[in-house]
Amino acid sequence: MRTVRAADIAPQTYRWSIEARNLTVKAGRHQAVNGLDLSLGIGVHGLLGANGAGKTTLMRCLATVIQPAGGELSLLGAEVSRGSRLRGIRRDLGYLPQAFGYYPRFTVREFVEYVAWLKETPAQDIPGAVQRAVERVGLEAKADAKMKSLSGGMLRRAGIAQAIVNDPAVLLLDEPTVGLDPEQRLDFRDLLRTLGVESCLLVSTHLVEDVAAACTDVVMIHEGRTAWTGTPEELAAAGADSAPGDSPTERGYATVLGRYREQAVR
Amino acid sequence: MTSLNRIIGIETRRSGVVPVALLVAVPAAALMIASTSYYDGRWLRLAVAVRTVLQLALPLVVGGGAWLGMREHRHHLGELLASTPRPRAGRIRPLAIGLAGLVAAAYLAGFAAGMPFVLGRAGYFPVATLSLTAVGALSLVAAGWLGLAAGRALPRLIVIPVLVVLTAGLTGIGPMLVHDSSFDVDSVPPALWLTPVWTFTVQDFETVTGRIGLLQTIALLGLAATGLLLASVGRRGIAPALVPAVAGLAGAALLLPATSGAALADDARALVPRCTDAGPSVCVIAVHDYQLDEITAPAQQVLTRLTVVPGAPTRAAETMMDDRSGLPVTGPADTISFTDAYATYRSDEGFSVAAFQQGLADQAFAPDCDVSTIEDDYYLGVAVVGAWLAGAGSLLEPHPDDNFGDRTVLIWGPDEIDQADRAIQALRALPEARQTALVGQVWTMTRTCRPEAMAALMALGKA
Amino acid sequence: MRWMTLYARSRQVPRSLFVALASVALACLLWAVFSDDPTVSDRLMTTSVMLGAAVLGLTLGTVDEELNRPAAHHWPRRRALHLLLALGVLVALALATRLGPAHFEPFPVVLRNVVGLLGLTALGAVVLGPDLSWLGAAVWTLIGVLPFSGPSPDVLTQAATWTVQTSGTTAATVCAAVLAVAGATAYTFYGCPERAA
Repeated sequence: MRTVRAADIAPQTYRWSIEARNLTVKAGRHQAVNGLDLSLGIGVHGLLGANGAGKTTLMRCLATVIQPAGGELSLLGAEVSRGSRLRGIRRDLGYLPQAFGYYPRFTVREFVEYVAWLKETPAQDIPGAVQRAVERVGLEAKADAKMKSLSGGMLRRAGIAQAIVNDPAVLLLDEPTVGLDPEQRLDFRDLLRTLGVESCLLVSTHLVEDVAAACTDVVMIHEGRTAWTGTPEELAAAGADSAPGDSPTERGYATVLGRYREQAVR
Repeated sequence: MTSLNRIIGIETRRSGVVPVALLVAVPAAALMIASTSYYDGRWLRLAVAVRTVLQLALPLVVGGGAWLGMREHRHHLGELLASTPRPRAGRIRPLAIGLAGLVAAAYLAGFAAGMPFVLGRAGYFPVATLSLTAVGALSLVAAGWLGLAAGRALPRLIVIPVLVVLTAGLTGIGPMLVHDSSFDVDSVPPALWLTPVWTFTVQDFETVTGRIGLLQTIALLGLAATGLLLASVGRRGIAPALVPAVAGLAGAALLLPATSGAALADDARALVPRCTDAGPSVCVIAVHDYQLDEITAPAQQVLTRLTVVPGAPTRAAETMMDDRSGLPVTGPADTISFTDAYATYRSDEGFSVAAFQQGLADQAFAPDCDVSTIEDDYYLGVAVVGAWLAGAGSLLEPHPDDNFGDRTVLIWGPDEIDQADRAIQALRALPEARQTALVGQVWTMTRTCRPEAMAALMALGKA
Repeated sequence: MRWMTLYARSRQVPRSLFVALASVALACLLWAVFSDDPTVSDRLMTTSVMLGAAVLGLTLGTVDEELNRPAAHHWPRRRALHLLLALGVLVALALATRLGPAHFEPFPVVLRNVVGLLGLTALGAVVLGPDLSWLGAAVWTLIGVLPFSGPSPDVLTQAATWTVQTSGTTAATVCAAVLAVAGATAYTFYGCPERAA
């Protein structure tokens, strides 16, 4: 059984799990994130945007992999640019990178355990945390199989298992649904909903229907800036009938993006 | 700490540490089993042999370490790792510990492969065996960690074979080429003692001074620390990480002996005689007491036959070899001297009893006067006496096979062998009293330098 | 020609060529500085040739064999050509040493070692993949250059340390020839494994 840690019941001293003000992040020499504002709390947040909109760069910055070039970023109430608190923030962070790297000869359980250790999970909590993470992504049957023997979908689930093993307060999943079959995606949406009950979950995707089905709200970015925020229902409602798309949410996405582009030009 | 232990277990099993260790252990063990004649019965030589095999093991461990050091890069784990709180130094620790443990174990496996040929046979255990082995294992740990650091810093596959060859050149092949071009041990620069690969010639009765063990330990500890630090720190930590290696090498350089030869010293305890309890006394030096069982009977046979000669030697004892003549250093008049029996009297099949007995005869009948006045017949005569002493019906060593590359050098021509064999048979056909009288004459001749007695002996073969 | 350039670059051939050249050049330079003998020590020569074969071995495969395989090329012929070119490079480098003060000679020994080690590397590429293709050649060479290895009348020893036997030692020549034929055949027809180690 999971033990309750002091940190779990300590009162939260910050308003937003993720808070960015005028954030700029460089990808190489290019300003991939350019003056972005963001305030995210508990819940499932969908990060939408075209390819090249800066989603992955933003995710990498939120995961503390790259430093912001300017602006302010606070994670769990701590200023990210001050390196001293980075270690503490990272203990409560879960991250599934877009290009998920893994050791092919590790078993799923070993890999998840390894990541738990990297996240400095207390020794006595590790076995339970690993088992729970593997169960939550439905990989119990494959827990002792080598990572290299997994199919694409199972590999994604193993990637999510490693991201949630420390019960992160901020969970960042970059393109988690790539390689999942339709049934797996339905299961995955259920998983997102349960994870979003107690943590701030940011899911980057370009698949609009995932967002509509599982997210509590939507952040749309375009050329490194926040283009729109709101709930999936608001997004669906915003859709003009004339806009391209096969569902209300898709039409909403096209409409909102089109409107933002027009404003940006002006 | 339990979680670190578990991670060490996982990393060690899954990361490729085991294949790296096997890559060292298997060839090392095979080489040890293929070269037993170099060390059998002798602990120090066993330890030295494994240190020689380091010339193969060190480069492979550096390469293996580099391969492991590239692991995060090869499997694209950098992104995920950068988001975790555990610092780089902590992250590398389980792999570094696992690698160190297994390569040290692989070194010991090489030692263990040679142990059956020493254990239970050697009666003398020089303590330097332990320090030589410890330093060898430590050198593999340092090699592994330096490799780990190199692989992390330069995660390009081409780096690995280059590192392997550079390490081999620097620690083994280079020093070996320096040795090849030197006339004696003291013309070799003492700096060659810095490499953990054993490149020097060591006699059985010698030992390596504690100073060498100390300076090598200091250098290797410095290198190991630098390897681990370099593997742990980011770009900014490189300069301070180099400090232990520089300090270690500098400290080791200060401890280097003035000449290479000064690093080796006679081991007084290895030279203590060990003698048989029963029968005519046969003695070897302590480090060779594994030979005593096998050489006692042939030596006693020769000594027993010799008792018929007035004033003949009653003991046989191992001594050192005279560097100029290549013959044993002679001892008191009652003692036949011989050098390391297994090394001196060796044929393709191993120790040659016949050659040993002939050697004792040669030594007992060594002329006590200017050798240049002695005729060629003299040596053939001694060969006849040797066969008689050993109770053999023909020459003990018609084809002494001194292998010079692929040539076999024959001492006697076919006519001489014939003549000698006839002389032996004629001698043995004589009445016992006549046999001892003739041999006694030959013995007296060697003391007084009169060649007629030998002529009488050889005349037996001509008649 | 353009295809050749792309092929060479995709396999990082220039880098390997540079290291092979540097390996031979460094061996000759060190020998010329420290010895008066014009013939480079066989141990140094063999080790340097081994490094050349090793780095050329890295070019025997690509990062993604699965991606390459279905491409409509005549791979066996291409692979055989690749090996032949590698052989040509190493032989040319060995011959080029004769222009300097330190030579790789005698030629039959150099050729035997080049052919044998390259064959062993090709065999390694088939069994272990290109990344570690050089491993067997490295281990065998390092055994050959150990202080107690050398010319020997024993056939087993001659084969085990074939890289340092004198020219005309049958067992050593046979050993090198077998490695060369086995390596070239296996690599030409099978190429590298799809999932590299």
